Parts: sequence; structure tokens; C-alpha cells
Amino acid sequence: VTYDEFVAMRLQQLLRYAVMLTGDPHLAEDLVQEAMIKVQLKWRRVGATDRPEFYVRRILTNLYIDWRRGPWLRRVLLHSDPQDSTNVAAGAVATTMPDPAERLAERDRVWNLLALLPRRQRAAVVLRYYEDLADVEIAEVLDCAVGTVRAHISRALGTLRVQLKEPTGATTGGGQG
Amino acid sequence: MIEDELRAVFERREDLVPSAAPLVEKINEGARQRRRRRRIARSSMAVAVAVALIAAGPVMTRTFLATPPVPTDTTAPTPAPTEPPIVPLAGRPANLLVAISGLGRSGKKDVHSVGLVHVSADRKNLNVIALPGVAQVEVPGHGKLKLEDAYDIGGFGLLDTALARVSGLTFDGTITIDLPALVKAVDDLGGMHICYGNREYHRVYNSRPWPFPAGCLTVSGEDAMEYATYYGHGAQYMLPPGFNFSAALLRNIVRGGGLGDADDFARFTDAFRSAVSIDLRGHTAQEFRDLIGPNAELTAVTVKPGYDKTFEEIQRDGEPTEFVMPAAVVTPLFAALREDRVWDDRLVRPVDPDPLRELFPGDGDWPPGTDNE
Repeated sequence: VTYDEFVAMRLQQLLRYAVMLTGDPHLAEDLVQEAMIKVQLKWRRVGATDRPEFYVRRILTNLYIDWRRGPWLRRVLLHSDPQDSTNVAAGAVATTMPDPAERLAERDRVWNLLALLPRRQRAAVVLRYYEDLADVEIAEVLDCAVGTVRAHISRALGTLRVQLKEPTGATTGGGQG
Repeated sequence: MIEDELRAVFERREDLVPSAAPLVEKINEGARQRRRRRRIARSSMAVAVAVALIAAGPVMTRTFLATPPVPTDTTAPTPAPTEPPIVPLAGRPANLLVAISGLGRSGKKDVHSVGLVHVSADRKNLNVIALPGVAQVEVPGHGKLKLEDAYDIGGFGLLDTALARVSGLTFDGTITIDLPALVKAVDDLGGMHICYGNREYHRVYNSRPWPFPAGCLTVSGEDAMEYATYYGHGAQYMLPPGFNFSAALLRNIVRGGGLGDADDFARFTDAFRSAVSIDLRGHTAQEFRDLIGPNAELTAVTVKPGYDKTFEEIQRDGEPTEFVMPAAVVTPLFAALREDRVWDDRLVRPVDPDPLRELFPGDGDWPPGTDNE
């Protein structure tokens, strides 16, 4: 596969993954751009691997994990106000049959809570529940043991469950690790 | 279930994903810039090294002379010598290793350019040779390494080992140049003064004037580096104004350029102190200073990694984007340096029909001079 073919086939998919990883389309574009520049400069090596997309996803994930905290953290994210969505969601928890609007609000809240997770945990969650990778593959991407991947995901899910049961005010603040 | 919620929220948030189409050109432009930075690091070496040589000699001398002698403790035991004896530089050719760093986009010193300086025994000829940092060489214990990686991993020690092996040269000292600091130093000095005897024209496109009229002008540090690395377009047009600029700049510095004035001299040496560091490997500062004769002619040599094509062109033509040091052209250069002959081909490029052929595949081709010369 040539570099151009790879771009044609995979760039949109990589961008989608980056958006889920970062929660920020602008940062996602920056990360994909940086990753693909590295890939283009080393395409001979990357293209020779069995699964170039896997290698690129690893570069992208590492860039996300290592990305310096900076002004981008203060960017306005393109989603609804966390306060509003969590207010709605707080009511939804007590309801046995939430209506569709409430379920949407709940998902918004989950999305916002993802931003509170440390970056490795979020990456593990995205790789499993968005990219549908097996734990072994996630371990390869994150360059860690399979047990560590499971621990990341377990902690992430634990955090999300606790936060979803918390009153609204407890979910504010924090940041990515 | 929280897992189901996560899957649903990811699916729902796909509407945030922008189109990737506009990114393609940004990526290509970014890669072009990255390659250009590497090229600038490599080809600005001549200017940087010349400035370093001229600036650092006096700096070292001043430091050396200003330091009061340390009283000798005659009771202390004399340590056993572990280093090989230092052969004085006088009367023999000298070789210095050079590394330029500090161009990384992230601010880290992650882009290096490496090269060497050869000074002839009579001190009349100075070859500044920029080597492609991405060229690979065999390094014992490390396998095939890029020159820049050799420097990253093991500093000058490993670079020395790598280059000594492929060149057959021994190195008498090292120079490290922080290019951004050098550019700043030039600016701190109020720019570089440069004079042209004639209006410069592009060698190939004569209708397109090179921006310098006959006469003198002062350029900023950034511009000096930019002009020094100016190329025409296309492989066959690689000889050019950039080298002429470098040569004019160097002539200017070597032949006065304000250094005769005590205040200018002090400003000059102070400004470059942060940009240049030198390891004399046991030689004296005076020996180092004497490397540049009063009428030294400098030839900047750039060893090109391959034909000057864009990445897309290389891909289109099915050529590899990584390469091994093209020994067919480098070996004669190194041979000339070993024999202290003047090398005046300013651009060393592969001329072999297979420019990327690796000529150091095994022991049979080593050392240089056995098979390839």
C-alpha cells in the first residue's frame, strides 16, 4: 500500500479515533496532522509493516498521552454545557424508564465525564469501546501489559460509575492526567 | 450498563468529527517543512561552522589566558595516563567533528546535522563538510545507525566511532553549535555584514535576480541562514547562490569584518559564547586558533543524501526514502581528506547509476581504499 492509498483509506478513520480520544475536534486534527507528518517521513518503514494503521494509531495515541497541557485545554468544546446536561442526568438516574431526551442527556454526561479520566485510561476505554480492540491489541498500542490495560479500563469504568451516581456539583473540575 | 452507554455516546459523538480532506494538504506541507528544516540544518553548517571556528578560537583563548595558573600540588600522586598521547596539531592536517542541534519543532533538540571540518596541514584550505544526518553507517555493537541517531544515542563518542570507521579519519576536537542560539547571536551583533563585488544572479535563471546588489548590506541572523541555504529548484540546479552567499559571508568574516576593532571583537566573542561549545580534546586554545591561516580558503561541501526530489516524486519513482551513506561518492571525498588533498567539489551527490547502493555491506569493502577507490 502506498502512502497516498493509506491516507485515502484511513485518514478519516484516524481522525474519528482522535476525536473520541481527545473530545476536541481541533486538537484531534492537530494530533492527526502531527502523527501523519511523522508517518509520511517514515513511510518506507511504516508501510512495510503488516498493519500500518496499527502503527499509526500507536503514534497517535502516544502523541495524545504525551501532548503538553497548554492553551488547548481552555478551548471551548463543541458540546452542551456540562452543568445543564448533568442536571438533567441527575434526575434520570432515579427514573426507571427515562425518556429519549433524558437518555441523550445522560450520554452527554458520560461524554463530559470522559474528560475527567487520566489520558491512558481514556485511551484504553476508547480503544475497547469505540475501536473494539481486544485487550492484547490495546496493550500493544499503549505499550503495556494486558493486565495493566484491564486495570486502566476497570478504574475508568469505576470512576464513571461513581461520578454518574454523584450529585451534579461533584463532576466539575479535574482534568486529564 | 456503563459499557453500553460508552458505545452509544461514542457513536453519537461521531457528528463532531470533521472532514479529513483539508488535513491532507496540511500534512504534506508540514512534512515539506520538516524536511526543509533538516536540509537547512545540514546546509547552513558551512556558515555556522565558520562562525564557530572564528568566534570560538578567540573565546577559548581569552578564557584560557584569563584563568590564573593553578598552583601545582607536588605532593599529590601522579595519575597513570589512560588517554593516548596528544599529537600537537602544528604541521599536520586536523579534523573536527561538528554537530548542529536545536531545530526541533517541540523545542527539544531532536534534529541534528552532523559533519566535519578538515583543515589542511598548510592551513590554507578549510573544508567544511555537511553530512546527511539520516545517512546510515555500520556502528560496531549497534548495527546500522543513522548519523544523527549515533549522535543522539552516544554523543560525539559514538559519532566519532561511526565516522572514523567509514572515513578512516581521526578527529582532533568537536564543535557543537546551537543553531537558534547562533541566529540570535548574529542578531545580537546587529546582523551580519556582507559585501558582494557584483550583483548576484541566479546561475540558471539569469532573468531572476538574486536579492543582493553589488555593494554591502547587513542581514539578520534568520535571513543569513535562509540566504545561505538558498537553492534553485530541481536536482540539476543545486549549485548556487546559497553557496555564493556563504562564501561571501565567510570571506567577510575571515578578512576582517569588524573583528579588528577591540569592542567589536569583544561583542562578537561574547555573543557566540552561548551558541558554540568546543571540546579541544587536550589541545590548547592557541593551537585551535592557529587552525585558520590568514589566507585560508574555505570550501563548503554538502553531501547530498540523494537526488533532490520531493517526497512525492521519490514515491512516484519508486525510490526508497531511506538510504545508506552513498559510499561511491563519499569514499573519494574521505580519501582526499585522508591524503590532505584539496576537495573543491562543493556538492557531493550520488553520480552512480544506483545512488542508493550500499557499498559497505561487509568486511570486503572495508577499509576504504581496498575496493572502492
